Amino acid sequence: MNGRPRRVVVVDDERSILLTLENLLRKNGYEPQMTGTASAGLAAIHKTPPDLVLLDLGLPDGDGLDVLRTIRRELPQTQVIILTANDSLSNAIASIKEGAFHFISKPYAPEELLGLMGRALEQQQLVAETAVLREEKRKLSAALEKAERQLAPVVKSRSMQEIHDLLDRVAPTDANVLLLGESGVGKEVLANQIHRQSKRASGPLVKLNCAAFPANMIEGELFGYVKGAFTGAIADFRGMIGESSGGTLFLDEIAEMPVDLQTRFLRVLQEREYRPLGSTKTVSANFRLIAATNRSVAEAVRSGALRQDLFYRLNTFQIPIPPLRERREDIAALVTLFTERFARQLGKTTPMLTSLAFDTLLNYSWPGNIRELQNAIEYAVVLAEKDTITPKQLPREIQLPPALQAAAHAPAAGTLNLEDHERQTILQALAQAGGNKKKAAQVLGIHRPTLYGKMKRLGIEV
Amino acid sequence: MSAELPPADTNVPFERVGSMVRQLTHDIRNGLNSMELQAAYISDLLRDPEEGVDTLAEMKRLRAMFAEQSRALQRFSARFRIGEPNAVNYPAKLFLEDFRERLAKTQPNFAPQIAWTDALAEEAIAVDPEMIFAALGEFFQNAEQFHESGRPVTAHAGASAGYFQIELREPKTAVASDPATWGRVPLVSTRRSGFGLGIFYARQLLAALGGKVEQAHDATAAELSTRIFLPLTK
Repeated sequence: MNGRPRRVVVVDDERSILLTLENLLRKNGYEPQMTGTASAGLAAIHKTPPDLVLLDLGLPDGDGLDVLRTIRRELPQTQVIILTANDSLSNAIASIKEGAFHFISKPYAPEELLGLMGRALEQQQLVAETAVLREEKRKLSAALEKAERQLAPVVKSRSMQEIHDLLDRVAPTDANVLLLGESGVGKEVLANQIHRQSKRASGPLVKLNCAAFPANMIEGELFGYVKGAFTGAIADFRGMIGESSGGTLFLDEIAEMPVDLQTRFLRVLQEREYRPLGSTKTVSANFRLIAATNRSVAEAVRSGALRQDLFYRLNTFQIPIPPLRERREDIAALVTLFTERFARQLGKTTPMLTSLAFDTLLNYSWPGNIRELQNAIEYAVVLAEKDTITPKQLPREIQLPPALQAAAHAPAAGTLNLEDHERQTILQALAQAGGNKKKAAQVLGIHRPTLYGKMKRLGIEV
Repeated sequence: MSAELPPADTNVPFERVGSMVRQLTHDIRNGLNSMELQAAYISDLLRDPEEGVDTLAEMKRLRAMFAEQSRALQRFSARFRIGEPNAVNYPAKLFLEDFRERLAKTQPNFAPQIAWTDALAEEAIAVDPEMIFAALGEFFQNAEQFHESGRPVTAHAGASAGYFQIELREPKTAVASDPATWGRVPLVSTRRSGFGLGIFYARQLLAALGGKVEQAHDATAAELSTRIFLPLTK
C-alpha cells in the first residue's frame, strides 16, 4: 500500500454496488469515493485524481466508455477497471482498447476484484517507477555526455591546436589513425574524440589494451571464439572485432600485440573479414581502427616488436601527441578543468590555487603527463583547506626542487658508471627525504658533512 | 414459522459428486460443440459469402456463446463456496427498491408479472446486498422458470418478530416433494445446467447473514409460498 491509502473512485449507478464496494474497499485499506453518475464521477476524479477508478459502463447520464476515454486522456496514470453487468465480450474489447486495465463482470467475487485492483495498482507503480528510472537515465546520460565533453582534449597550446585541426579533418573519414605519445598524454581522450566526430559515432567504441592481456588470451579477446574452441571456452564470445561492428576499435599499446597475431590482424585490415577461434565460418569485419602506442615506432619496428607492414597499414594518419612538459600552455586550462571536476565530485567548493602552487605545477616536469596532473589535482582538492590549494597540498614529488624531481622518477639504470650511480643514489635519497639533507644522510647511512662533501664534488645543488 | 429442520448436510455421497461431474462435463462439451459448429459456420461464410447472411452477427453469436459459458462456470463455482459476507446497513425500504430494480434488469420478462405489496416503515437490515440479491434471485428465477402461466405471482415485504420478510407466492398445482426439504443438501437432482445447488446455495447465503428461508406448498390453493427472513438491526 506504500504508506498512504490508495484513493479509489467508484462510478456506478447501483446503490447496492456502491454500498457494498464502499464497505469492502474501506475494510481493505482503500480510501473510496462513491459516485452514481458519469458527471459526478468525472467531477470527483478531476477534483482529486485517484489512483484507481472502478467504472460501470451503463450509466444513467452517459456512456462509461466516454468516461474511460476522458480519464485516459486527462489522467493517463490513473488505472481504470470496468465493472459492469453488461458482460458481453464486445464491451470488454472496447474498454481494453480504450486503455482500461481490466474488465470484471458482475456479479464478481470480492477477492477477484481485490486481486485485480492489487494488480492494477502494482502495474501503476511499476509504470511510475519506470518513468522515474527513465528520467534518472536521461539525467545520467546528460551528465555522462557533459563529462565526456569535459574530457575533450584541452586545446590551448599551438601543438594541440594543430592536432585538433588535423583531427577535425581525419575524424569524419574511415581512415586508420595511429596515435603516438608518452603514457598519460591523452591518447584515449583523442580516440574518444575521433569516434565522437566520426560517421560511426552512433556505433560502439570498443577499446582493447594489448598490454593488458597475456599473449595467449589476446587472440581470443580480439577475434572471439566459439564454444569449445579451447579449454574454458564455455560459451560463444563475439570478440572485440565483432563487438566493434559499425563502430570504432581502439587498440592501445599496439606494439605489445604478439607478432604472430599482428600478421593475423593485418589480414583483417586488408580483407575486412576474419574467423573467430574454433569457427569454420568467416565473419565480415566492419570497424574503423584507431591504434596507439607509447613506444617509439621506429624503435619498435627496428626491434621487430611491431611488424613493418602492419605499421604501414596503421599509419594512414599519424598523430604524435606531445608530452605535457612540451606544452605548458595547456597546464592552466587542465588545472582549472580538473579542480572543478574533483571539487564537484567531492561536493566541495572549487578551491583556488595560490600563485606559488600554480608555479610549482607549471615548473614540474610531468613525466606522467596529464594523467599525473589529474591525480595531483585530485590529491590537492581532497587536502585543500579553506578553499585554497598551497604547494603543501600537492603530492610530495611535485614539491621537490627541480633538481630532485627527475631523480624521484628515475629508474635504477644499469648503464651508469660509478660516479653516476653515486649521484643518482644521493639524488634519490634527497628526493625521498623531501630535500631534507639531514634525513637524506640518514637514509644513505652517512654523516651530513659527508653528504655535503659528496654533493659538492658531484655538483648536486638543491 | 414452521418446525425447524436439521441443519444443512454437506457430507455428500460420492455417487452424487460423480453425477455432478458427469453432468458438468456433458454441459461444457455441449457448449463447446455448439461453439465449434458456430465457428465452422462462420468459416464457411467467410470462404463463400452468402447473400443476406450477416457474418458479423454470427460472430457476435459465437462471442455470446463464450460469454454464456463463462457466466455459467462463474455461477457454478460461486455456488460451491460462499465468500465472507460484506455486511452493510441498509434501510429495508431502499433494499426492497434496489432489489426490485435489479429484478427488472435480470428478469425483464418476469418482473412486471409480479404484484408487489409492502408494509415497511423505517426498519433496517445488515446485509451483504450482493449475496442477498443472489439468494433472492434463486427463488425468483425458479419462479420464472416453473411459472404456471395464467395465474398471478405475488410478493409481499414486511417486518415482524425481529425479521424483515419477503414472501413470494407463485401458482403451483403440484410439487414432487415436500418443499420444506428442498436445498437441505447439495448436488441433488443433477440435470442439464442444474446441479442441485441453487436453493442449497441460497440457504447458505441467507444463513451467513443470520437469515433463513421457509417453503411450503398449499395443495388446496395450488400455491407455493417462499418466505425469506433476514434479521432486522436494532
